Amino acid sequence: MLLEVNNLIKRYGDFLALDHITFAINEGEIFGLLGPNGAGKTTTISIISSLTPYDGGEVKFLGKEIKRHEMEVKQEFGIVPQEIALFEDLTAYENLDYFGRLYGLRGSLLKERIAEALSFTGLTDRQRDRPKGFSGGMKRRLNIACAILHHPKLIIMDEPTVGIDPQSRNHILQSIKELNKMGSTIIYTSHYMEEVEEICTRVAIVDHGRVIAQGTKEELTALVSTEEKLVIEISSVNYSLVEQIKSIPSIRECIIKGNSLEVVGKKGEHNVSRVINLLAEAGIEILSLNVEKPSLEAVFLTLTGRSLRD
Amino acid sequence: MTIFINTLKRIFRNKVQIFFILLFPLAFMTLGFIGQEPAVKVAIIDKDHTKFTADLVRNLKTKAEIRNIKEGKINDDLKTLKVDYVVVIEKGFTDGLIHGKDEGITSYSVKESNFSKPVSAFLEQWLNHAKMVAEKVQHNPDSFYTEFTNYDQLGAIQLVHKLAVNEGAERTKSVLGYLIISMLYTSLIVGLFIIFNKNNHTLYRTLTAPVKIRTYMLQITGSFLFVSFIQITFVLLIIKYVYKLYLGSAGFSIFVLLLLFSLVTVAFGVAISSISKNIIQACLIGICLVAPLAMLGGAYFPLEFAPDIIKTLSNFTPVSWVITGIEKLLQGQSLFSLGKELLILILFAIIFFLLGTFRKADIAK
Repeated sequence: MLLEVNNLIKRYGDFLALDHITFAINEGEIFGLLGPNGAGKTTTISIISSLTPYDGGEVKFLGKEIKRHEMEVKQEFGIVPQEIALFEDLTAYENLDYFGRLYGLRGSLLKERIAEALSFTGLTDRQRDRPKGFSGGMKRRLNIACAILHHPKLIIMDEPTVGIDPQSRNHILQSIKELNKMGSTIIYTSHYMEEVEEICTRVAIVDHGRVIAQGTKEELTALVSTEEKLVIEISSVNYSLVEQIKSIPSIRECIIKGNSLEVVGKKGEHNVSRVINLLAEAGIEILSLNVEKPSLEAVFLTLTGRSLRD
Repeated sequence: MTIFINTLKRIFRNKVQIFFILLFPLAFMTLGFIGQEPAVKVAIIDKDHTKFTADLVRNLKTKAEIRNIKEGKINDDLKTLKVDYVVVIEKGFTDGLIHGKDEGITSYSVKESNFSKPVSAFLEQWLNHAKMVAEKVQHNPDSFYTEFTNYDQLGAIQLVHKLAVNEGAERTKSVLGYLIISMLYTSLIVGLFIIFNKNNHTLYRTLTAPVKIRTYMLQITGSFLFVSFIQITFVLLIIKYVYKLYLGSAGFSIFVLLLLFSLVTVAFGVAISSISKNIIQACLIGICLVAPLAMLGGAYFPLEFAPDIIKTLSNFTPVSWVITGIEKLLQGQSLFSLGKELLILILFAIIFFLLGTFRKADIAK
């Protein structure tokens, strides 16, 4: 286990910000902390980063309590803060140089790592420029570059895509996947469920300072849904076919929407093959087929009774 | 040393900061010259016209601006401030003085004013010398003039020298007072710098690295102390070689004392950063604190004639102790004799530094 967070409690006066938060992260994972604004994600990250004292519980990195081994543990972390944390009066290169030195990098190794981080984030051409003139996406990328210079074992990204254009967001999400492939374990916090769904191998859903569910995406969706939805685009609509599909015992509903059929049935009952067979027998050509599964948004909605962006 | 070097790099890259650190104190210190008291206006009505009274007038000219007035208008001219001090020497005064009589000279000044005190003190000293000489020559007029000329030359040289040193030291003290005020204002940059690092989240990010908050604060403080070192060196060199102000043999001691005071000002800046939530608040708090600290401490004007309550309050400002230290050094005392002043300044630095760092448990906030 790379990181263990057990029964973490944090109070701000009478307000209980973290209520026995518990999760564990394996090496090589992209672990998502999903929750609405104010759920406790950033507080959790601040505690893991040793920046905020906590009132109860424990946080262990590679079996070591972070309180007792603060400096040693910090050396292994790369933090990408929610806000852009850059010196606007220094160039991109100087920013990287400063943060690299804080992690003990010096000389040719530092230069090598700066070049690597610049290249990874696509900022090599802008290394002599100050972030003042950068776009939001470029600043976000430099923000990430500063955290990966020292090849940390655990990269913690706190909502790294807030306020940027879709192109930069895709670039960042691809970079995260790449970093993971290169061996880094990643904690990714977000209130964008699509991002978490896209990149995270496991997810903890946080609300009101508590982990309300955690597991793989499949495990989480399985918690709230026993059905699946097929969307089939076909060459011609045949109404008698709808009745035949509905007669399959595991199918609950079948409706026509334009040139498509929307079929809802119980999960794990081979609905796809049964429907395909029926269509083939009727001589109807299948133009496309999509199996829609419940999203994490639906999971959150079911578990909390409100939407992630409420 | 990474934070130390990075801070210096950022300070000296900013032209406004360089101006504020190096040129602002110089510009501000000129107020120390402007603030010098004007010359005392003295009128001498000499009815005796002897060699002795002529000598007295000549010497008074080196201390004051001589004005001509009519005897009948003394009161009016004093009231309208045309003159600050009037000396009337009656006929036969010199003879009387040689023969041991203490009469024939009258001085006039506004009762409530201390402005003319240096002139009256000088006059008194002059007459005492003359009386001593007259006694020594057993009231013989011929011997009196011979002996007095010798005594005058010797005495006047001593007197002029002593006065020159005092005037120079006073001016230096006044100019250094303005340097101290500008050092206090410069210290606000430390506070603003720390708040700026909080606001742009680089403080947060720096502390996610293996860096302790104390190390961070110490390195930031260290870099600003280095800046103060440059500032004080630069300003004192200008004072000595361009302004040519009197430093006596205390130049190095004053440098060390000011360096110690910079420890207080930098810690003061750190404390400001701790109690302020944003840059505007820090500026307002800083300015509101610097002005009374400087005034109470005696950096703007001497506190000799201030009420006792002000004098007592001034003991609670570091400015007062550094000014006292400078005063003592200019009077010829050594740095080692300033034990109390140095100790109190160190205590102020520690208190300010602790004030600035003790509230840093939750860095993320």
